[in-house]
Amino acid sequence: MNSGHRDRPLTGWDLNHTGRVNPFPPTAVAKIAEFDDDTVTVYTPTVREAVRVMDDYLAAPTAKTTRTSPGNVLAIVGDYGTGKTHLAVELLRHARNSAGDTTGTLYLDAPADTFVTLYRRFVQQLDAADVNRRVSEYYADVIADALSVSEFTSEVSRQLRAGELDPVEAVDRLSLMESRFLQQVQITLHRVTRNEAFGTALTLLLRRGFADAVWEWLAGHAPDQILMDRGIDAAINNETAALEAMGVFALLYGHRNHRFVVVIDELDKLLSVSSRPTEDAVVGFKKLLEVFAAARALLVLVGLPDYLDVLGIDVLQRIGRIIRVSALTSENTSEFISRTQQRTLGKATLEPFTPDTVNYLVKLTDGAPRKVVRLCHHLYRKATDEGTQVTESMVRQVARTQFDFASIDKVRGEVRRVLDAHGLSYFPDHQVGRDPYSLADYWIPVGDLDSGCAVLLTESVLDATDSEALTRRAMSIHNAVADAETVLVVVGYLPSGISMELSEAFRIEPIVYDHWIFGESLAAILTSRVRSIEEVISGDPLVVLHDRVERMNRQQSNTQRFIERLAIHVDDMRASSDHRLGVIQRGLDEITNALYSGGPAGSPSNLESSTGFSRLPAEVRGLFNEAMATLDALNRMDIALRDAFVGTEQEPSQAVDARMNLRATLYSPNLFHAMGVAILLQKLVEAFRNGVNDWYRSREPNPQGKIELSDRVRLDALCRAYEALFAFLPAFRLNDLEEFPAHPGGRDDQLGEVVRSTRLTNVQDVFSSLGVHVHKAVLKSFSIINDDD
Amino acid sequence: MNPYLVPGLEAGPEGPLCPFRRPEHERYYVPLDNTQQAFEQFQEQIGDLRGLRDEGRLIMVSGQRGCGKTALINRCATWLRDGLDNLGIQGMIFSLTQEGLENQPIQRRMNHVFQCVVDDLWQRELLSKEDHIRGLKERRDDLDLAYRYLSGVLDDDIVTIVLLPPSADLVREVEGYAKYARKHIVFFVESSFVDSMERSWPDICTASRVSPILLEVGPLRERDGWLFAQARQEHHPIADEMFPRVSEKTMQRVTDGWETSVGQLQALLFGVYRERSNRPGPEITVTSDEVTYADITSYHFRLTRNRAGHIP
Repeated sequence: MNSGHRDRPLTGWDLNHTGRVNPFPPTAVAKIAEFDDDTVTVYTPTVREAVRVMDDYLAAPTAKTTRTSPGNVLAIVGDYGTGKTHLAVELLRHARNSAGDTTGTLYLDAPADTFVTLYRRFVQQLDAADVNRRVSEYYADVIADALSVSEFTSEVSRQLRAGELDPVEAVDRLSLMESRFLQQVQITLHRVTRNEAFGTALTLLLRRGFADAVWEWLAGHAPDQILMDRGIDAAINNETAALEAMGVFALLYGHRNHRFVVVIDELDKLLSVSSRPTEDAVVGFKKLLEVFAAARALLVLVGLPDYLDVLGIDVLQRIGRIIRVSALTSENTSEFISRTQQRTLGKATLEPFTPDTVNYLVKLTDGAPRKVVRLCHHLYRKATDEGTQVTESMVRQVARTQFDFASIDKVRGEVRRVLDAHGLSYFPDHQVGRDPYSLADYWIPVGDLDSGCAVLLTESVLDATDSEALTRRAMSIHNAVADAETVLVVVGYLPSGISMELSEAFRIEPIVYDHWIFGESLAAILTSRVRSIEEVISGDPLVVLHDRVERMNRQQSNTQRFIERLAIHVDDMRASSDHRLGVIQRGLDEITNALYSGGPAGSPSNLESSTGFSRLPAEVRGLFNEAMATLDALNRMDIALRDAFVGTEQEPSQAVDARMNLRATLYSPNLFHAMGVAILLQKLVEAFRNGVNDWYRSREPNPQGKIELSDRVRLDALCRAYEALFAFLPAFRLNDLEEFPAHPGGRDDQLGEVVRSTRLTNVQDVFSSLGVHVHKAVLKSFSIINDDD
Repeated sequence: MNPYLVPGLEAGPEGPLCPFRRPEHERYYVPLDNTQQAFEQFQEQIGDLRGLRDEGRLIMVSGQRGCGKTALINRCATWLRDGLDNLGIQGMIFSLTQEGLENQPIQRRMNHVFQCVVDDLWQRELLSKEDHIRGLKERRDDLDLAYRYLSGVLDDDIVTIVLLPPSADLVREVEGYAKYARKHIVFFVESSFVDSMERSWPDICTASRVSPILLEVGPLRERDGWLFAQARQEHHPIADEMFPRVSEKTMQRVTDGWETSVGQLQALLFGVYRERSNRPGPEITVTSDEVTYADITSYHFRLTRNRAGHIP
């Protein structure tokens, strides 16, 4: 088993005298806003294939000159962290660089909702001016056709086709027969979009005074009366209409020589087994794929492999190509390291990595890009800290730190919740047989005590030693009990090679903890394991039935208890909101008083000193606000203390409970450490924020609006100072704040635990990368993209 | 001096002829693009004008922009008013063609028109009784009742001739007016969305109490361009004075091969002449100068290049 000690998190800035920047991003989550022309993309076979599909699409001749479909649908699938989003965004960048003048691009993040929400995001991202231009082109062509037959108007016709003359202006200036052309455009757009309402609505964009009503309808709202008067009386508010509407725009863009590339990312949120779409939605989605293929549009669908399973064969047949992202090889990883350092440090080198450590890194991470990038950041940091090269043991050490992002205790709690929710009785820390290795973290008896299912929990399993220990435990349990099933939960990282070995020992693939789906996965596996044991041992079906009924009874009473706690929790949240509103109101009053009180001439105003961030640009201010918001443990302390006093007058029993609960918590020595760290961290961030604010105030003005070298040096020093101090803070102590309840439910506070655990996962990431992000945001506010000299 | 400048339309040379305001406009009508036939069709189909005291009527004029719809309506309304006058019936023309915005809901447009009619009737002292005014106010939320009431309180020797704002593509609006055309009320409506109105004409007929009249005008036919230019050149009040003329051959070249409207031609030729009259130089004579095809095409070309968006 791995040791429980954790290293402190690594930071993004070097402490040594060279002042080297860490070229690798600390979090490897692709964000489209952070993608720029310098972002490194390693051309793996997957990437090359996808780019080839894009190039073929961009080079395809017009629909009039070819019989094949000018459009296409491309699916990119892969597991979490395998680089799907990065590939999709790279494709968009490639399209813009290759044919930006004639190609419209759009990136959509699929919501965990319906296609209606997806459509609304789609419309929000559409460039209204671009849509108007597409419609105008149809109008121009209609008018140009009518005027081309006469010598007198041939020049006007030419100007319209060439885009030198706006058709609406031409109609006005030349007193042309507007309504005839508008009616023709409407018929054309109806034919092109295959939708009468859209034909009418898009044509109205050509008439003054209708744009607002049309865009409001396109955005999914109920049609304005002026649209209803013209036959548009249904809102785009169901999945069929939403999907049809998206197809309309694909067809609209397929005019003249235009291209339209749409990426829908995280499609599994819309299409998955757990959020299975309606039949109408699937039919609508199939039609959307057909429309994109028929139009001059490329639809790129990105997501986990699940969504393909949901779609069905006839829908899959509409997908032109399915690309499964491939893992990074050692060559790819070396190229990534080298190019990233070239980009940031100006030197293409593998140092401090070596070919051997790159190989090991790839093997450990199975070449998953997100894990590779994240480990590169932390390994680079550690190696330059220590002035050494990256070694295999360093890789293992960092992997354990970075991938053990949830504590075993927290996961144990989640396991208990799943067992309770399904009415399964269990024994924690149960020795199944006489062999001490037959210890199960949870033993679920089935039938009589000789049969059952053992759940084992472990941290990252990174080498043969860890694997052998777990295998031995599994074998001991199987030897001790004939009809035993075993389930392994890995809270951390599990390389695929070791996973296969453990699958054999446990007779089922281990569950790697994932906060989002762990409950579901565990429940499904336990249910099937228990059932298979029942099938094996059942002599008397009535016994099995009796057990199941008992289980259902337990499930029902657990659910009832949960609902009661939920009601109490909601009451508490309401009370705490009142409290927070009061705090906010007092704060506002103070600021108002400070504004009106004034101060001695030449001295900083009270506002500036009290708020301290009045000079920070919005993006920089947002980073600090986000960091402060994650430290809500301190707020919970306020609430707990408040509860001990505020209920005294009205609900004495509640106040007593609050005091008792608070005292019980205060018995934990870890809490004092955790609160101390939280307060120190809060002070550190405030000081950092004030320092950056003072930097903005005191920097030398530059005529070109850029940063003077001396100011740049000061900024670098500011951010390094923050990182240097943060590095010495035992931020891992913040995990102990999980012990701090927010309501009398205490340790069994299931709802509170769910809420807290989500927040704490992000805390360390937010603070460890704060210096890097603030530095980048400050530079960006002066239009400097590259933060290297 | 501009032969295409009609007296009374100095501020808006492209505006429609309006004989009920400017009687002299009557002689400016030129029989082209079916306007004469449409006018005669109206005279025939309106029938006995006395019947308008018992049953109202809807007259719709359909045609592309610039084809002379409003001018035709003005001519028909003038003729109707004069005809009623000869029968001792007071025909009151209410010109509301500028009273509606295309991007307003139908209900609001129609409410506004009704209010304008009531206001105008009151201002002309044709609705003086307080209880009539009150009755109209009480019914204004239901235009069917309101127009029914209005037609009931109007004196027997009055016929209101309402020239409605263009309905464009608002078919349902035209259907509404078809329903509201009761005794003493004649509605003239126009629309440039020819196909939509044609498609909906059966429904409009169904909504009407008495068969509505449909008049159609269209683009210029062959030789219409020359007819128009010739009429303007010869019928100008100061035709004897010298101004450059355009020839039949030139007009044929200008209008040949594409569909153009009289309004378009009017604007084009007006602009050409105005530009020439602003050109410095010696006095021009009929025999020494002519508006050539090159003159017109170069002006036309400059129109498309004018970024200010107005006629130069």
